[in-house]
Amino acid sequence: MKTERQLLRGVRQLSTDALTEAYDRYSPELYTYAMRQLANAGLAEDCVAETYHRLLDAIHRGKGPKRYLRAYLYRTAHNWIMDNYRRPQTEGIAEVGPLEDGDSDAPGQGLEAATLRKELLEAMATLTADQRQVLVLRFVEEWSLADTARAMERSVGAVKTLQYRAVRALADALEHGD
Amino acid sequence: MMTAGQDAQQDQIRRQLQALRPVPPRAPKVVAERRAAFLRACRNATLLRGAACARSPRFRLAAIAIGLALLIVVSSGLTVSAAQTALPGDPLYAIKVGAEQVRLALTFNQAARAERMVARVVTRARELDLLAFSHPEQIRPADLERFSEQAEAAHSQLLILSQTDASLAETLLVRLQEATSLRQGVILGIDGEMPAKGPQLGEPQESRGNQPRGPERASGGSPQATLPTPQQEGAPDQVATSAPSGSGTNRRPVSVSAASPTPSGASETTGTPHRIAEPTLAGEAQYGASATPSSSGSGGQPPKPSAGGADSETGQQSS
Repeated sequence: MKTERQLLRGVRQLSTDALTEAYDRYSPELYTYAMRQLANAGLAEDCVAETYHRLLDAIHRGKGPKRYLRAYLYRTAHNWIMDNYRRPQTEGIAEVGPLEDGDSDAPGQGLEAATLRKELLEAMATLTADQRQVLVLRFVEEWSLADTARAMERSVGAVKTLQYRAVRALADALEHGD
Repeated sequence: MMTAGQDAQQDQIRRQLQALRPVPPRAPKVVAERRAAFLRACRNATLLRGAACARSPRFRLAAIAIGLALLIVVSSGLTVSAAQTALPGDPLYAIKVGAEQVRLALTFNQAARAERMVARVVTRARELDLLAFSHPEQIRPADLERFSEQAEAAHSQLLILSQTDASLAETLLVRLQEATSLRQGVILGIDGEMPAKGPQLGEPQESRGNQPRGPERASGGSPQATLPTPQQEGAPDQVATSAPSGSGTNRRPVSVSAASPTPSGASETTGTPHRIAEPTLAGEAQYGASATPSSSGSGGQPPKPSAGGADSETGQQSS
């Protein structure tokens, strides 16, 4: 399996193999990332497709990622989400079947979990796009501060500050929502 | 640095956000369709990139051709620059002369052409002078002929210029006369004694036999020195202020108002070639209205006019 740098080199050369591998490697997590913010499968699939098409277009124009492919993809996906974000449709969340989650002990199963997700999504809708992104990347995707900073094109210190404000804002939104 | 309360709040939010981790699975059919669409887009992008690469060899050839052309232009410029100090007989001398011709051909303004042509004559004179001092044997008849031809051409151009800018024509004529005087001295040095010293402008006139090198030679010299004489007019005893101080007491610049009658009644002689005579300027020439043609005759003076009426030795008017 290629390292990210090797993969990026092939992608920049528009190697079909490298592009295929990049799609297979990152499209599932991109879909998950979009889904966690949009709560809509169709929109999430559109987000993934558009992210990779923008990558192709940028490389063809001589632009695109220079060092970090993954961060670039997340940044592109975030930009698309910001452009197309709609208030999550949360009415049907409780009726959704078993959800995929690697951690069976995580609070993701059952009606209670569904209700919590609904509340979270509604509360997240009151945050700014950057606040939502930092919360999802740091606490849901569990990215490091450095990776988050790279994806958001901010410094680590700026990410910490943004994270602190996002936490307070979400806490306030959840408290007022109760 | 976060407080304990802030840490607790963050931990609580972190735990709550875990509820967002579970995500409904993707529909396999949708996944496959989206993947296939992306691979098609990849192939199209690769084809486009390949087409662009196929064009680049032509661009490379064009870039190479342009680079070679620039290299030729730059090296030509450097060669021309290096040829500026060339003397007759040097390998780069032909380039120097050729470059002068090109520059002159590209000069359309009459005043500028006159200046270039006079400057060219001055350059020829200095070349001959340098050669006469260092390698007189290197001077060929063709070099002297070239000098004569260029001096004639410059004189003709001054005639043309005098119709529009008499003042400049007069100034350039003085310069032309100095150049021809310089060469006159060179010729005498070649035909007579070896030059004792380098060219000296401003030296007093001396007899021909023991004359030092310089432009102040007596007129005459080898037949090869024959030049069209720039006509001189003015009072016989008037020294041109613009002439070199050592060019002889009888040196007189040509007055472009020669067509007007002189106070003494002397009129412009006819039959004198190479005469800048017409038209008359608004003011009389600064050297007087005397239309007496005279040659310098003496050392440093331009060669005497071919027509008669002038004393070639003293430059005095003989009417």
